[in-house]
Amino acid sequence: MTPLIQARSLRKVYTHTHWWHKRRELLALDNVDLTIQRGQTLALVGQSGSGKTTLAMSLVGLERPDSGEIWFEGRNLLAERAGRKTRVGSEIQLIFQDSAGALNPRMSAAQIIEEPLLISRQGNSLERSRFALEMMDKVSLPSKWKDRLPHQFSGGQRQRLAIARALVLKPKLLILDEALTGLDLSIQGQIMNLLLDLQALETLSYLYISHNLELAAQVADEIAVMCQGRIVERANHSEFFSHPHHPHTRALLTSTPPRLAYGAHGGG
Amino acid sequence: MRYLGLRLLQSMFVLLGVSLLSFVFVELAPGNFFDEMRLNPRISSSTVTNLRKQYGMDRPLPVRYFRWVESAANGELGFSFAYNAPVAPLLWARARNTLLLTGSATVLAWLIALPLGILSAARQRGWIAQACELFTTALLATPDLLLALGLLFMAVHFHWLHTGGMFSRESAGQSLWGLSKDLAAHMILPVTVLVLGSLPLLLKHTRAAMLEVLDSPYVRASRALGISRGRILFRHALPAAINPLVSLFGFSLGSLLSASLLTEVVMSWPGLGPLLLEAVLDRDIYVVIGAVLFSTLLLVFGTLLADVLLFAADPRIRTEDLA
Amino acid sequence: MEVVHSNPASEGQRSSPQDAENLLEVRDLWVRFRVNDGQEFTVLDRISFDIAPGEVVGLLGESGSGKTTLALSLLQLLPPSARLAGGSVGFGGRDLLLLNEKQLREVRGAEISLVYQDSSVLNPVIKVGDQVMEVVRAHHRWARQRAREEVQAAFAAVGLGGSDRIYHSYPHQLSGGQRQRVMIAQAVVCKPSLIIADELTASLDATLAAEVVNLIKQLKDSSDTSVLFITHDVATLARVADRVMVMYAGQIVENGSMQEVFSTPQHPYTRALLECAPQDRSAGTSRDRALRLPCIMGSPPDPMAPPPGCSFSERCKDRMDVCDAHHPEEFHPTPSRTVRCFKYGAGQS
Repeated sequence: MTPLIQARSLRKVYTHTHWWHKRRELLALDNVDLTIQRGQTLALVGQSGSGKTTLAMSLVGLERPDSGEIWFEGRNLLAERAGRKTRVGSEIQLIFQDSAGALNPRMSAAQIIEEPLLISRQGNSLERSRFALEMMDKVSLPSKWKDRLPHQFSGGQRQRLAIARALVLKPKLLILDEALTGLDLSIQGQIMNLLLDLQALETLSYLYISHNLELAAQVADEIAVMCQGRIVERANHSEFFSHPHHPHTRALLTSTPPRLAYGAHGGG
Repeated sequence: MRYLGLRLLQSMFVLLGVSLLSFVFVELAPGNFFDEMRLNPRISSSTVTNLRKQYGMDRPLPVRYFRWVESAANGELGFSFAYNAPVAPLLWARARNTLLLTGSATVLAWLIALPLGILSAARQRGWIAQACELFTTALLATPDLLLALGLLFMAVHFHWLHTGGMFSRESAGQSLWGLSKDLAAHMILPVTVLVLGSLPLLLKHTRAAMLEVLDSPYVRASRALGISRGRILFRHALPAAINPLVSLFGFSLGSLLSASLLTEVVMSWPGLGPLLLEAVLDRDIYVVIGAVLFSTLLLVFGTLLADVLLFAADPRIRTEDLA
Repeated sequence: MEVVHSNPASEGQRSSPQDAENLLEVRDLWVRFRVNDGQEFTVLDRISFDIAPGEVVGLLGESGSGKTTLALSLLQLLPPSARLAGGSVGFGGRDLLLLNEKQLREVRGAEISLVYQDSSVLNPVIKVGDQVMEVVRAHHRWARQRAREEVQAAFAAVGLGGSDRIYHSYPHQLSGGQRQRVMIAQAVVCKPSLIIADELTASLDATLAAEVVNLIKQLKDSSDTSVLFITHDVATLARVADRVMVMYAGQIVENGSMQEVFSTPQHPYTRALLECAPQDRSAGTSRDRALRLPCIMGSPPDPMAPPPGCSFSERCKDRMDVCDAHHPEEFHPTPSRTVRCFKYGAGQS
């Protein structure tokens, strides 16, 4: 089965030149291969600075890798982007950690959701508003809040808004870069459930990036570990936990706190 | 170090470019030095033509330019028609006076603006802050010319301070101390005008820079660690806020020569300003070009100094980012 | 609000179960915030708790529960829009809320330290060694040599010892983990008896968080330092806390030893929260798509419009009629536990 997206040998070096320093190079992506199947979730785990975000940006098109290939549904993405055929943008979407920073503080919820439609000139004004309300419904945001501004939403609600916006152009791949980090524990589950429902409904693939292995493990089909720009381990869910190979993976697994017997039976 | 070499090379190009442009613009301006003479019926036109030939004014532009560059290399910077002397020593004598004035004014302005700005940021609702706001707004709204004329008027009217030139006639031959006192007395008025003119900008910037830093997480954390307010202000907040101020300082250095033109003319201070004005009106072209060049030199030097100071003052720029 | 004490036990046992010398005694702490249009709302609703010397007390709470406000109010570091409406904080024989700024400065950093998650609390233009030195300088009049030694000792204690390089580095030259440790060094250099850690491990990845937790344990063991560990990370608390308090909407809804609270949680919020915490992740060979993650539907109440009854009743699975109409008081099912819930016969107020 042809995977939805396949990245091969991605390489990206950031150079730091300043007049009084020597030239410094930072290898952000070191020969990275990545494959995600349709409708599946790949969790990418690694410390900060391991290159996860660079990888996400490269896939979405916000960064250009120095070398390598990205094949999306049989199309060569990097070649298309070089030739500026930007229809590709809508099929891979990115959701960031900082929802407040990702939403324009001056636009209402409805406007935020409608904006991608506006830019790609789809539908007329009436259709767009109707669509926006539908999306809000899908992410369980009350439609009467359509005129509220981002700062009037809570963190979890803002992420829902970001998800609604990301889904407007019917992407096939959604990249979640630490999207649940920082949300309350009780809300993380809500958002994750929403994402799982949407995945089933629309056959989405997810690239779930996090430094927190636990939450990632609960929703991933496959797990990959990234360290200093390289993917050092990749396995499906059960393999990953039963037979970790790379020392870095093992370190990660041992440092995560052990399971606790949280009482399901209360005191009354 | 390599960078400094590059910057110096750049500066050379800038100076060369400026001199060329000045040449061209002066040329484009209508009239020349000798036109005045032509109007005078007593001077024959042949005298004028001879004079022109003598000064090489009949040669084409490129030739004149090269001759000027030659002269610049010799340290003369061309020849002044009005003063009948090489330009460089003339400029230097006047520039010294200007630098004395503007140098003192800059130092004084910063000495006042820095503490006031810091204090008004620290106690935002205090009377110092309110007074500074009022003061700054009033000064910003007042044109320099008005300020200069106003002060001059008051000085003359009330016979306060000395109102013209650098030294009084009587002071010739006095001791060094006497001369200095006399000089200082003459400086008070023009320096005051210059300081009042530049204070608003400096105050605003200092206050803004401090306010931004005082609101930062690290300053608030310092408070949580029990460090006293005063120490936080000067040892923690000020060093972090210094960055934009250093750049500003560099620029104020750079504009030392140009800032005072108006004031010098109004107050009759024998600096570069009046010389330049005269020269422009007389079409004494080499003086004009020389003065412009001097000013440019100072600007280039000022920005370079600002960069170097920034390097020394801000460790974030000085050291490499390991993270 | 009428106060009806229907449970005599709660009246007599106002002080902590450990009636021995407590390090910190908070009673009825009440803090309100003022909004732009003059209205006020309550952020801390008469909080009472104790901390014993050498005890690590975890404070579990989510956004809007008031946990950060609690941390700040203990040291009177609240913003001007906050108003202390009542209560007392007993520490070392004095009420911290009655101290003036000068006295408070002596306490801050030296007897009670505050540590955060965000390492941007380090000044970018001062060397980190000097920044730790600043704390020493602010509280002690030691000779340079002695002060320097103390700073080095603090660095060693947090695992940054051994070289002068770190001392003379600037924050941006250090890694995130190192910066975190510098922050902790600042907090411990004057050997405070209480450290308040506000979301210390929130932004750290697993390995770093584990190291920090070990550090806390060391501190507790070696110098009998108490820690008030504010977090929403249940797993971390389980490794290091002696006691756990759960906060919701400005109130403490459960308080007990870590064993008790985690194995037999009583308050419905606590139970729901623990269920949300990531469980054994190796369970199951493949992800079961039908399985949904546990969560608590809804969101905390709007502080501007608090509900008439229990603040958790809206989202509570065990909600009863009385919950919507009255506020539950604190109830002590055992001397060492506190629950604020009608299910356990708590009094109404």
